[in-house]
Amino acid sequence: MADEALNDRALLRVEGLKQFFRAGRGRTVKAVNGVSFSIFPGETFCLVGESGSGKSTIARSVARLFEPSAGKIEFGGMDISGRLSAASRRALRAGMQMIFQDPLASLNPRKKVFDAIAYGLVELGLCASRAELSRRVFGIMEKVGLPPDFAGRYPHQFSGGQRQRIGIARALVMNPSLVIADEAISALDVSIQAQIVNLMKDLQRETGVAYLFIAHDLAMVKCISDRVGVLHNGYMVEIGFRDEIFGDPVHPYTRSLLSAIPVPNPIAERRRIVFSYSCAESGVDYGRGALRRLGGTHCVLAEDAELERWTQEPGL
Amino acid sequence: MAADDAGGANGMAGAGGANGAGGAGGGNGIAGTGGADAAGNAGGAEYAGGADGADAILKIRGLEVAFKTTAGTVRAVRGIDLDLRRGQTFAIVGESGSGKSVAAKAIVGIRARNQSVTAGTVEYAGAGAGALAASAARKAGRAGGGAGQNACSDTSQGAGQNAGRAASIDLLRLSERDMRRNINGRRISMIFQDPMTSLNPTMPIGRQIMEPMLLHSRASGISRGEARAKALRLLELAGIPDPAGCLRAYPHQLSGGMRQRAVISVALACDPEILICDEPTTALDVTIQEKILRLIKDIQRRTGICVVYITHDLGVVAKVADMVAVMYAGRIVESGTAEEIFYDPRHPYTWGLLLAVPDMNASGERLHAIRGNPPNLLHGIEGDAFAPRSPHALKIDARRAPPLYQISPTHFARSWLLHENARPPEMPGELRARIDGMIAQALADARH
Ligand SMILES: Nc1ncnc2c1ncn2[C@@H]1O[C@H](COP(=O)(O)OP(=O)(O)OP(=O)(O)O)[C@@H](O)[C@H]1O
Ligand SMILES: Nc1ncnc2c1ncn2[C@@H]1O[C@H](COP(=O)(O)OP(=O)(O)OP(=O)(O)O)[C@@H](O)[C@H]1O
Ligand SMILES: [Mg+2]
Ligand SMILES: [Mg+2]
Repeated sequence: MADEALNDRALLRVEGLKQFFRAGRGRTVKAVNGVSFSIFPGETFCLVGESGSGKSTIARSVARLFEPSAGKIEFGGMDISGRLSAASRRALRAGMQMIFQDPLASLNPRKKVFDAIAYGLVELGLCASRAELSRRVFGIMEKVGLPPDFAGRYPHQFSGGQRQRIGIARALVMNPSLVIADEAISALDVSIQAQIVNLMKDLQRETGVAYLFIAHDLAMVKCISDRVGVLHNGYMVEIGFRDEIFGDPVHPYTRSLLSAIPVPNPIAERRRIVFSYSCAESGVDYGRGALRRLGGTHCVLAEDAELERWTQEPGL
Repeated sequence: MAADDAGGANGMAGAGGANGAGGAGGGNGIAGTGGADAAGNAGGAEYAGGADGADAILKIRGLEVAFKTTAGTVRAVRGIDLDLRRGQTFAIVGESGSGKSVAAKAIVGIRARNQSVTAGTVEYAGAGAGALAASAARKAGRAGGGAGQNACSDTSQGAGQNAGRAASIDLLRLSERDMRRNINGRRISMIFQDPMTSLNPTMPIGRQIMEPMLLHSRASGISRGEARAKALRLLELAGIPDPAGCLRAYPHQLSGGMRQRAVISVALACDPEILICDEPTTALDVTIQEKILRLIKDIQRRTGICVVYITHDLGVVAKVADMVAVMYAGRIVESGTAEEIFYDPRHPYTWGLLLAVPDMNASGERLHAIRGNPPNLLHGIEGDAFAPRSPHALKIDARRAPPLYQISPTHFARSWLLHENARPPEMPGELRARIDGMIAQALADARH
């Protein structure tokens, strides 16, 4: 997405983001190593990739829970990569919401469900009265399928799925323009997943909210995404529209990922052969590659020779 | 192959179980399970897990768990029957909040502070049962025989059949201390949904793997050095690229997936007989998930360990499970072999569940959610808990809980639709089409 005109419309622009961590004994973990992407208003952008490839780190950098080591992040035309002014912090708090991977860690165990959901609204003073606050909290609880009598209970009294719905309610009650959902639905049963995803889609149509959706369930990703980015070892190795990624994967990591998606078919599943890939075995060095455009919006991280080899391999 | 053996045993023993089970007297007398409702009906089959329960290492009958809350009593598990066998892989699927984790925790003896009832029996007949039964009998003797029913060997219980069989003991009657020292982490290991609840944030991973080995070191005679070497091997087995580094790392320094692999290493540290995995791979990408599932399968093949998966991912279930149980509102509403559940589901909740899975062959459409919400377990449930959400509900569903119907030696379902006088139910057309497609694809694959 190099086109200037398109980029002007972006809700979120991430350019050359690097996020390093010191891990003791002078070691540095390069969790995110120069990643670029944009998210447009009203779209669903999915990040998929290996465990430890940097998905959550990107989410946290974008939400400014970390100070990025390098690169630029723009949200709603505002530079949020450096030190944040009080005003931009406030805009960020209202406009960007995060639903975490780990429901218990993100919920204060001593806060009742009502207060957990109301927290942001109260903190930023976004309701005119106690009655309005109640209306909005109970309204969103109903929307995500939480019975009203749950409001007085504590998070540890709920199942994993119920806790995750509390997290979702807490984010959506703020009417944000971007919701970052990090593994937000993976703890839910498939029917409630379907219910929540349908709900998120409805809210998207209603309000134009955009989603940065991080998930391991590729069947779900295929179902809900507009565009998909594939991460591996801190690099974005492939990015494009859903059908470009699922229909015509080029990078060997993407191919290996797609070959491993389990389907609810026992006989087929027991004889499934997964295409395995590792950088070391295939001699790929991401540091030497560059993002190549394959046509349309479909880009892949590759060196010249690799690109030639990969595009000549037969499809899945 | 372990899986095949288990399947074979089910098929054969199951035929016997269908007629022989009546005499064994399972937990169906417990109020609320099928037996009471079923008198005089075609239903009311005795759950036999596909066999007479003879070779089960864990035999669960009529398990109930309830919690006290400020709003009232939550009846989270309302009577479940389940047999677990060596070498078998069992999957428990179902609605969020249906009691899967609560049931699993009851089995390994993790009791919540506000837990108010635990009823039923969890009969353990594994390697540690003999010693536990003997020690319980000794204690009972000392106490004047009052707690004699604490331990029973099968010779006294099984009316003289198979006199030579190992002893068994009801885990629900063991103290928390006995459970912690002799069962949990040693004979039965549990991996939790959320890796951070299994890991201590203030302790390096290595120590957390070695701790249970050293805790039970009197029995195993393992030294510190050996424990360390085993910890390294377990991390390597779990596919951690830098095992030595991971040994020293703290949980927050690992990604979600790495943490879960560390948790698996902790769970396997004491070579358990039963491994219960509560959502073990939801935090992992599909390629690592594949590796972990294969790892667990390998360990199972080598050791004959019984593995129970609790998961929402029906693709994973299809990949690993021999037997599947579907839970709804604290009960098992359908159980059977993986083939029976995926290709021939009978319960309307199972239909809804299978239909809700996003279809890889059709993208971008609306997903099929089951209409309505799960029942609030605070309020007593009358009749069939799923009926208010089922397009196939019958009048009787509102009044009486359905009994257990037996469809094959291994296949059971709890729905009035299976009553001989009910109109034979039709699964939703779209699901029928999907299943037909899957079977066709499986057959085509098999031909290649
Ligand atoms: N605070 C930290 N200190 C040191 N290393 C960290 C820290 N946070 C993350 N890392 C490392 O950064 C890398 C990326 O982690 P991240 O959590 O972003 O992965 P992820 O893609 O979200 O993985 P998963 O799918 O398993 O959640 C990992 O190698 C992780 O160990
Ligand atoms: N300590 C507790 N106090 C009160 N209610 C509880 C407690 N623990 C669990 N529950 C309730 O018991 C029911 C079953 O919970 P459980 O965690 O077993 O669900 P689950 O089937 O594992 O769901 P999920 O798939 O979402 O993890 C839920 O309704 C939950 O709210
Ligand atoms: Mg993550
Ligand atoms: Mg659970």
